[in-house]
Amino acid sequence: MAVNTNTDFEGEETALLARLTRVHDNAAGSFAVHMHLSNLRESNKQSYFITIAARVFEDFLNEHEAQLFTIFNGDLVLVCRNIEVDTVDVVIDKVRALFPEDPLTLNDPGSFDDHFASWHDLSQPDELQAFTTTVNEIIDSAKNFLETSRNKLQGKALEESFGTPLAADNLSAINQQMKRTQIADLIRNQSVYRVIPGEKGEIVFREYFIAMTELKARVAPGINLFSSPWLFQYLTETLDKRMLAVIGKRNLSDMVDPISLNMNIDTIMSRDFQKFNETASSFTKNIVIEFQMIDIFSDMNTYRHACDFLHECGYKVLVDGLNPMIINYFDPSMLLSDYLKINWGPEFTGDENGDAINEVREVVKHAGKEHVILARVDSQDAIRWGASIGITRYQGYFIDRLVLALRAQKRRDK
Amino acid sequence: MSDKAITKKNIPSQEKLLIDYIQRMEEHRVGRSVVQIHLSSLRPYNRRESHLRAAASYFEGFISDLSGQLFILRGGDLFFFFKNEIRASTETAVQQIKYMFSDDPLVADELTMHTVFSSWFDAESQFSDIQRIIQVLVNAEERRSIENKNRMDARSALKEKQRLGEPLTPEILSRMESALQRADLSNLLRRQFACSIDKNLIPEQVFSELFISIKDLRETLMPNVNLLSNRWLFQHMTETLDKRMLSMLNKTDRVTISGNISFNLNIRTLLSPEFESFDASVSANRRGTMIIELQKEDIFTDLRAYLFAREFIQSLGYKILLDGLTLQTLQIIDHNKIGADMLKLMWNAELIDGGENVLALVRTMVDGMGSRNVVLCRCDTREAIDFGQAAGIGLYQGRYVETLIAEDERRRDLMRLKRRIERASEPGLGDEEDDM
Repeated sequence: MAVNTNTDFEGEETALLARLTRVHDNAAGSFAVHMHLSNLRESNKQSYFITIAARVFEDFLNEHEAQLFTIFNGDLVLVCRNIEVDTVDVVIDKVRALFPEDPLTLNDPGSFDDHFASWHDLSQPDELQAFTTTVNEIIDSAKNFLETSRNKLQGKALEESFGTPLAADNLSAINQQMKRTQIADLIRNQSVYRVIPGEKGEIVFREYFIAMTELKARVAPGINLFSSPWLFQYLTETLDKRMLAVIGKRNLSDMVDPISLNMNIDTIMSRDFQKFNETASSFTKNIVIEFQMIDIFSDMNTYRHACDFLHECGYKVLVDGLNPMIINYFDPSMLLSDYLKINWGPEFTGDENGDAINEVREVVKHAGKEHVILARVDSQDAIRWGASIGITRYQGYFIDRLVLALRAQKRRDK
Repeated sequence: MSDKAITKKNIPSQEKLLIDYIQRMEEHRVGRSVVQIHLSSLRPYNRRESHLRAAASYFEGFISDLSGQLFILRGGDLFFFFKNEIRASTETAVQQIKYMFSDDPLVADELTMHTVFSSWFDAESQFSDIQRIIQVLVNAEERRSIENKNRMDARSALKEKQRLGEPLTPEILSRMESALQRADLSNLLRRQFACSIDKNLIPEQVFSELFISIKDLRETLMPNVNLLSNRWLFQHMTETLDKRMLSMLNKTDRVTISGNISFNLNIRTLLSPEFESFDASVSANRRGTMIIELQKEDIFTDLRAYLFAREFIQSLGYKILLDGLTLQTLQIIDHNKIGADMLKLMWNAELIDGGENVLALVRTMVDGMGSRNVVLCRCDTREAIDFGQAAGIGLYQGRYVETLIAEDERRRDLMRLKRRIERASEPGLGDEEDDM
């Protein structure tokens, strides 16, 4: 979309309005379908998703009297003339099918509850009027949107969140920086609590991790470390070794609560871990090793081996990187770890009665509830969701605050 | 789940004891029988130490009055040797154990999946069967422990490095990527056929997988470097390879590509402008002959991106193949939900070691997918084909299949030659080409 700074707003939205004006003169057989892609979950609203969704219409537009408009917020509007509704359904369903796990596409197509697509019979003057009003509102918000993003650009907010992508040519330098830079002061911890109703939470273990935002500012300012999942994963192998060195030097006998460390599976096979294991040997039963699911999937045999090795030494193993959606596609309780960590996200609110949650319930049943942790708990909703499927272990900012408040209250009560 | 660790520590490995016992038994096997209880085929969460102990406890009485002997193998299988006098009560005990696990698919789906909970043998007449089964289990266990030892062993790591080359580093990756942009890769493009194979081991080519040979790539561009030494760097490099592959497929004047083909791509590539321009150059009916192979780790790295890409790619007319499944991943991943058109299972001897229950698992998967939508790859022995045919798998790929293709071609050449000679010796007939 061209950004025109001086004159009045111009874009596909105004082209749509112009088209509606033309419909006015010859309305018979005209209708519009408004696809509300802007209401998809955030994770489904990637710009390339929308671009590709628009491409699904290519053949349809060549073969029929129809025009497609891409709205600034991701919505698509298809204006048709003299086309069978059934024919249009086919192409709309193709777009709908692109987002199978999104609540927006769950209700029956064409039904009253269908929030994905709304149909407007433009040959009816009332409906044409109403839809024209909607489009005018869209143009207003498009203007606002442009205004704010221009301000943001000036504030360099965009530059900071994106930055130069991590690539093969800058990876080596960043990796060297990560090997050299001081990290001990960037190590934070967050507890996993067992929540007993009516009592203060009890710590299951403390997860030690490196504060990534601060580390990024120190070693790779202006670089987007997350632009390639694989290269980022490579850097974490370096961080593993730094972490092991720092924790290995601390006096583990002073450790009050059990701890957990994030590791790559390959790190477990390395000399660095063997060295750590020598110093940690009498504390292993209080150390949990967290593995990422993608790491496990890329080499299941090595995972099995690492898991056996860690168990034989007395460590506990945790599988991280799960979420309620992923659990519908594989059963993590088959991985025989000691803990499973499910990351909560606000998009899972309201799923309490669906089929999806039954799968999660099964996993909790198979693994045993004392082995399942709900992480990234940032709201009451998350705890409510977790409790509804029998989860009793939680991690996240909301639970941290809750435990603090409970402790303060206990102290007051004394 | 945590008591998995204890399983190994508290129950000593009884494989060796079992082998000794079998040797001693050879002399006095008359009047004895053995039952194998396939607890290793239970879901992992049903074969924790507490479950195994509970199951074993049903035999305690027999053991203490010396009418039977029990062995618990590492995988969880129980072997109970007993005197034929107590057969009826042994059967009752096995039935009770089976009842304990009635929720597990091994028991619950017994009729539909044709799984086996227990196998019974007469020690006198079936002694060699017993020996064979036990030997397979013990060998599998030994292989596993040797493999485990090698991984942690610095000497074998060094040996591996000498054989495969220096590890890939970011610096080398960076050089590699710029070399890849310039190099002509068309002479590194290989194809391997996926074939159906009939009872007489005659292969028929169904599609061919196109790939850039990593071994030759390494020798051409970076000898002495092990490109596979770091999986993350390698995975990143495959994104560059994807783009070169797509541009090669576009230039059909340089590479002739006929018939149904498959190739590997990353999901990120499918959503890139490079794929868009590739797709724009592919005619609509050609799309139906192309199979895009995706790796499971790539799928689970960003499941939403996969689900999106799957619908998009399938709606364009391409087929999607879920690549790289092993026995373990087959058990864990719900392949029906993944919704690929085809699936590739990697051959490994563990598929046979698992006995009837693994066969039942694979057969159920094949029934669901359709025989011609399942490929058994990395077939390097006749054994692989035998297993695949028993499981109903329709397509095969690998070194052994290449051998069969070569043999078949030789056979056809010979036939052709023979006919030509026959015709030449018949007066009045020309030697026009036979259409075989």
